[in-house]
Amino acid sequence: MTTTLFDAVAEMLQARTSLDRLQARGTLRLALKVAGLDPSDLSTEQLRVVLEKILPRELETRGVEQAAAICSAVMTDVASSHVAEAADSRASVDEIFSRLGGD
Amino acid sequence: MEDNAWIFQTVAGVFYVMAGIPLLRLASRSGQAPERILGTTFLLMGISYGFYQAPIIFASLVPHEVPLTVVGRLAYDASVVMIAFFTRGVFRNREAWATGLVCASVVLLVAGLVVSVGYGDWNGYAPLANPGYWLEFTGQVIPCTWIAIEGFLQHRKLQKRVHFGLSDPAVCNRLLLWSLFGAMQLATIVVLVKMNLEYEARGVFSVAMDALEGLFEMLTILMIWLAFFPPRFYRSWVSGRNRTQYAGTD
Repeated sequence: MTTTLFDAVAEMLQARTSLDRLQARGTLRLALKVAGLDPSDLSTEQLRVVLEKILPRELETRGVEQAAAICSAVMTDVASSHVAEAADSRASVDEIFSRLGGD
Repeated sequence: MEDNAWIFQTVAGVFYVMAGIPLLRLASRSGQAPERILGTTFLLMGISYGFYQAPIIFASLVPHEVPLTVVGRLAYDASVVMIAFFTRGVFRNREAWATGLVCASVVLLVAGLVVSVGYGDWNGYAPLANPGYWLEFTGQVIPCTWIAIEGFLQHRKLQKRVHFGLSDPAVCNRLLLWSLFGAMQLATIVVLVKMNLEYEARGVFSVAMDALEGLFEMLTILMIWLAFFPPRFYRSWVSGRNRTQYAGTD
């Protein structure tokens, strides 16, 4: 089974916090939803914004301390992983409709 | 169509051909399937409208209406299949139900055409006498409803992404226009049903429905124009509106 960027990040969150697997995945899923993102189509750039602007607040709400530092560490881990490259290779609806409009 | 809808349909037909060609040119440069499918869709729509309107425009030169209308009907149904392929390929390319929806649409369209021929309704103008009419109608409604829904859902997602700088406001707006295109196509199909029902029952086309169809045709091409060939003023308006909307937030 292929590991998606979402799966990888959820595992990293679980490892770096006191959240269990379900809580880590659920919190990440909620953060993505706030930004209108799909777990299955997540790119590293999108993830970077979520980790910087949304997830720290979501983690703090769930009692996780030093949330911003954890998110920053997760982003560093993701940047060097192979999962990120796989996620970025797929064309999104965004890209297709941008091309169709001559942007 | 006894009143003025043929004028709007002719304008729409010419517009669709003009919209299809640049998208096919884009496809030849990019080698990508979405622009090829969409370009073909618009081209088929233009061809369809041309064949439907030719017997009206050139009444004295074209003595046989039925063969031309049949070609128009086939071209339109083919364009609907293309819409279904486009929607599946762009929005739901990893989901089995989407493939099922495309297959269902194709089966309904083909079955509708076959049954229509069986009932001698070559033009597809007899909803009361020909049960195949409704199979074809359902086959057309599925893709049009689908793009209206997918476009709207995606637009909602992109609105959130725009807020975080993750998407271009122009693309977000394009999805809304695409959704409205689907809704207008759907509205046109429904109006045509009403027109055909009245024609079959009373032998005349409804003037009100005729006007309504013309209106929907014009709105449809407006959506396509603004979505895929946006003029500078429209691009500026969308960008400016977005800047105002999110100024000072985040």
